[in-house]
Amino acid sequence: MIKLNKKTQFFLTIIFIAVIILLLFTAKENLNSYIVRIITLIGIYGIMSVSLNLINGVSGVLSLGHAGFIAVGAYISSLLTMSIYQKEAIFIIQKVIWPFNSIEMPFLFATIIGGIVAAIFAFLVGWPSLRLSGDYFAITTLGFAEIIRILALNLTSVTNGALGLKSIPSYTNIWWAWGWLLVTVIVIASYVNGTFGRALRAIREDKIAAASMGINVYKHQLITFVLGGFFAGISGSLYAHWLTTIDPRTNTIGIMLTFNILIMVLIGGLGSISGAIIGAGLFAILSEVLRFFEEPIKIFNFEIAGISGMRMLIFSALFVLIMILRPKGILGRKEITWNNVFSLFHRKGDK
Amino acid sequence: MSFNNFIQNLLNGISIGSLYALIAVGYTMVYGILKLINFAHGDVFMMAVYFCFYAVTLFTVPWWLSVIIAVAGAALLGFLIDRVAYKPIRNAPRISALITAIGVSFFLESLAVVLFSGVAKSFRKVFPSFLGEMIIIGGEEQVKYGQNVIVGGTRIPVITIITIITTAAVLLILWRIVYHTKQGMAMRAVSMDIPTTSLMGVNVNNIIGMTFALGSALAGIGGILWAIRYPQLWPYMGFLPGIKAFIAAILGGIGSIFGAVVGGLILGVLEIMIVGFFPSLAGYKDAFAFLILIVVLSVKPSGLMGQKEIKKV
Amino acid sequence: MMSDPILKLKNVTMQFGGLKAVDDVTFDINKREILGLIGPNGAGKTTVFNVITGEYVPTYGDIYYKDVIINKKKPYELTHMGIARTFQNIRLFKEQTVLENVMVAKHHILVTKDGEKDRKEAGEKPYDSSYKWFWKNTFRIGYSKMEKKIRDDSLNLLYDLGLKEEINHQAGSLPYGKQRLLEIARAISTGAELLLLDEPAAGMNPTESKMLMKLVQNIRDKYNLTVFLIEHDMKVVMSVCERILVLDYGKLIAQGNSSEIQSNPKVIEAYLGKEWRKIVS
Repeated sequence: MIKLNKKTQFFLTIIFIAVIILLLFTAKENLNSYIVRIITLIGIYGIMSVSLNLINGVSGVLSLGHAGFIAVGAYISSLLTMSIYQKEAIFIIQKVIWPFNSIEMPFLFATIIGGIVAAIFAFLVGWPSLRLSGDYFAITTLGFAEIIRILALNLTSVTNGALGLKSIPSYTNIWWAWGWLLVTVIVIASYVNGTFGRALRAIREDKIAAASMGINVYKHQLITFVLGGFFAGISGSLYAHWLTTIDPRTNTIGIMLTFNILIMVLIGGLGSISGAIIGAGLFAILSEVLRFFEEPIKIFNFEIAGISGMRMLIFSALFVLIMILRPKGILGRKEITWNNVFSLFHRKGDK
Repeated sequence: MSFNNFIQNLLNGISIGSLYALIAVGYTMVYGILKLINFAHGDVFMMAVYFCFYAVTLFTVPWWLSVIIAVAGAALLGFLIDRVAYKPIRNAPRISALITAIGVSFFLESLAVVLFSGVAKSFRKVFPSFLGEMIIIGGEEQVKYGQNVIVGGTRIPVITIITIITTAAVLLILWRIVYHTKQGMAMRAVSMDIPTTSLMGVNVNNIIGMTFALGSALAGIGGILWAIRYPQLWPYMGFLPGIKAFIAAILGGIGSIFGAVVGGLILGVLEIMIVGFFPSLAGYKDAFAFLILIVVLSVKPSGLMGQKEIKKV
Repeated sequence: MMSDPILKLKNVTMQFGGLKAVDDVTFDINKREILGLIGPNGAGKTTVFNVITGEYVPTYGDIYYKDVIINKKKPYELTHMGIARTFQNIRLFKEQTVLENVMVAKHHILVTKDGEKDRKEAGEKPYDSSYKWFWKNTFRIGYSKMEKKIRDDSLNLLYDLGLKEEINHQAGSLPYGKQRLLEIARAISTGAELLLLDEPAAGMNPTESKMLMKLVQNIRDKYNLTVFLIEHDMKVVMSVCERILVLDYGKLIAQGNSSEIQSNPKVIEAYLGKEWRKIVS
């Protein structure tokens, strides 16, 4: 096992980030817009999975409400960035209420406000439901996400009801997505690597023992849940400005989204931040590759029709298999750190 | 609301409530033994309806036979889910088991999309029309066709009566099985203490499998009655009724079969009554259950009939 | 000995359904005393611990800690006040290292004002306590100094308990005896004044339990602790405890020093049954 000192690690991290920026820049300049869009999506997915991983993997509760917070962030930020004229044009059933009818603001502020409102929702949901036992918490958060979807369909003067929001400005580019991912990772990693992280891991392993160490389990889980909700809101804003439409009738912001994020977290490993990002990348790439199954295939003049839904079937089968064979996720709880990376090379060098 | 209207709503609520009860019993039995929310239970409900649908439309089986096929299919499916997905992780942490259950649920839904397509299918005319069907007009449920029985000025759809009677009969049979057979006794023993029961020479895995099969069969019956009422079937139809039935099970006190039935009836009647009294809330109907859940759990975490668990340190 | 009780139980009863696991128990624990609790299996010893540490709320009676009623306090609040415990079936954070196990016990002092208030009265102010550490931790403002202090304090404690070699081992990989020691270290690390040890010598070999006896006395002196322990190993109890309580069927049947307990007929009866009493006498 190699142990590098803190300064070296910090220095290496700076270089690593610089390399990523350079790679993203090269990709943006040279690759076609379709691939650039996917790379942007990986950044957004990364934020989603890192924040869900904070709640489900680190603090040891199972939240199924992530899509709800994402939807809150998406709606709030979109309503804030869309021009007043635009809003008048699309809200045809009922006029949009104050303050949205008279506000238009830059993307950055709208995103932050989206995150804050999502965090407030997280507090309101977590406050009663984190007192419940784990299973009931899962059901309650699932219910919350469902309530958000029902509100989106019915609260016409805010959400435009079933018509959804259209022509949201497409502000989200590679830099916004990956910039916010960087912020998310830095904040969550330093939260988890300090004394709070130790307390959370203690809670995850044994609540009774953690309480006997003086840790207020409820309060720590609530803080974590709110922090996760904040970043879910941020990712929601980025997602909405990437999609440019929000349609509450389809599953873009429904339970299916939570499920997809859960797969990303599982591929990476419950509790590992680096794993969550890798999981997000693999999920985005896999779901593009597996598109192949859903498109018609031509073999010698015979056309075999694509089977729609095949991707989800493969993902859900993968999901169940991971849980049966490797319940802690493919990578487990291990983080990719400089020490681990160098130890790996070192060992190879020894041979 | 007139008196006749009230009675109509009440009966309507009871019949929806008995459907929740039928599904909730399966949840509560599995939870009582494994402490696992079997998220896939709602999807077994959905699968049973598809079995029934294809038995009639594709294989032109008489409708009564299709019911038997569907219920048997549901039971088998429940048994298989336990064997394939849950049995390997019996000793894993509860959070892993819960995540697996969610995965199985999505697997079944995706499988249904691939096998039966994601487009909704009509369940009309699968069953004889005297059973009738409900459609939703302006938020209020009304009978579109099918026969009604008129009692003292109150029109009662035949399907409402059939639902209530079937549920009562099925629950009576279940009660006989659980409290008056050897297998039922084994089930109750397993739900109290798995290691001790296995030391008594009971094959615990078989009993758990049987519980899954029994619960799934009930969900299958519930599914078919549901589809006659709301004659549209699609792969995600089991999600909401499933979640609501689980809430009903919690409401009544998870682990108690009687509690699940009471919880289901309360939830069904409340849902219909709230919309009946406040028609403007009809759009939010599906959100009530969750609000009720949060309120009940905050006031009495063990549910209405449940027993308080003693924390073991 | 001058009595200066730190903990008082007055007519405490803990009832589960029809079963009285603890039945009308009254006793005091004096400051800096080592008190033992013995009794046959199922006598309700661990339940007494669970009632004191807030896992259960007593059905009847009151518990006073430093003259404050603590009946309804939660376990973590009692740890803030200075009561810490170990568990009969070891509950370490097995996936974390030995050092982390001890460090996590300091976390509550960092974030809870209560803990600091108590310590201020005692004339110390080691930590600047509040949940603002959430921001300091997350954004690394003035955090590394505190982390170092927690680390140093924890290392010192581990040296004292003889776990110097194992600081970077996974807690779950330690041999049984050392796991018991680590659990004691972790409990002391919370800043405890009253230490409850639930069968600390269980699973230890004779050499280890001999060392444990010495250790309990040493830590009592060094960290100014009051120790209340449940133990089955009579050698340990008789040699280390200054006073012993005997529980049978939830009732306190005797108390006194080791020789008084050994000659008490009720105790012999509880352990060996009536027939044996005749034979012994």
